[in-house]
Amino acid sequence: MKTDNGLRTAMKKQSATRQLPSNFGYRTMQRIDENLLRREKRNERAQFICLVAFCALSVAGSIVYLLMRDSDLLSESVNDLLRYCSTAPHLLFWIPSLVALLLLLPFEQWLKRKILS
Amino acid sequence: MRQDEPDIIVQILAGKTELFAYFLDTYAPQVFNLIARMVGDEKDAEELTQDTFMKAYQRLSSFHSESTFSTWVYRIAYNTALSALRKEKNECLAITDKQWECISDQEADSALNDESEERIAALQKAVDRLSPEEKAIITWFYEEGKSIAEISQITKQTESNIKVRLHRIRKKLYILITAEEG
Repeated sequence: MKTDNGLRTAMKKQSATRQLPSNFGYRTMQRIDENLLRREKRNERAQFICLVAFCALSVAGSIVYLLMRDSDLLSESVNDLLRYCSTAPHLLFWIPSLVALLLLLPFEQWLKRKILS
Repeated sequence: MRQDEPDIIVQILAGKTELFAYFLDTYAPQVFNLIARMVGDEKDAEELTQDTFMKAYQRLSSFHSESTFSTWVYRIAYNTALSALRKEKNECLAITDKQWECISDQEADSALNDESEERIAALQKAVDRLSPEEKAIITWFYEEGKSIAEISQITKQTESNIKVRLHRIRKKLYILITAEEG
């Protein structure tokens, strides 16, 4: 078993013809990077969903708490806010910001797509 | 194995992904040779080698330097190739106990030691007819020069089991070459 020179030569001759393509390392590293990016995106999405869920639960919790404590105070505050927003000067103040927001949101999405691709 | 391999792994886990190229450059040719011998097709072997290194990268945090990186990556490669081959039906050569006993060690010794052109061609054909596990064991033992202990670590089989398997592989090769030549 220590020698088996014939077998060793036979196997060596067979392997001599086999070779990995020269760009194998580059392609594998590329696949690893793609996988990493995909995993990062998945994590970001999961974090965003968690954040939204947390905010929604916090808002719902706060509303329930306020309703339990003083329902009159809450309805008064909501009415005041609606009254404030519906008056013309105040509405005019918020309109430019709203328009800017509507224009900037799609622009931000477009930029993200462009940078990531 | 280079002394600083554990340090390289720590750096990769800390975010320096590009350092993984070192392991690709160092171990990919041997892993490819092993898988190519096991599966018999170079295209499939290339894909499985890439899968092996992807798995190695993903499981890098579970590598704790109890074994060398080469042993660890060989184990992944061996299992990856075996599970790919499990889907295919492999023809097996059945040898009875009587046949094992009929062949003496001296006969196998001289047959496997012969370096004539015809014998080498017959041996190459015989090696191709072995099972994937057997091909892996002889690749490590004869080509990579790995010890029985290392092979048993890779395959998770006992050392005595590997010794018995090597002994039987030699006899099986003898049966195959005598059938080829006779």
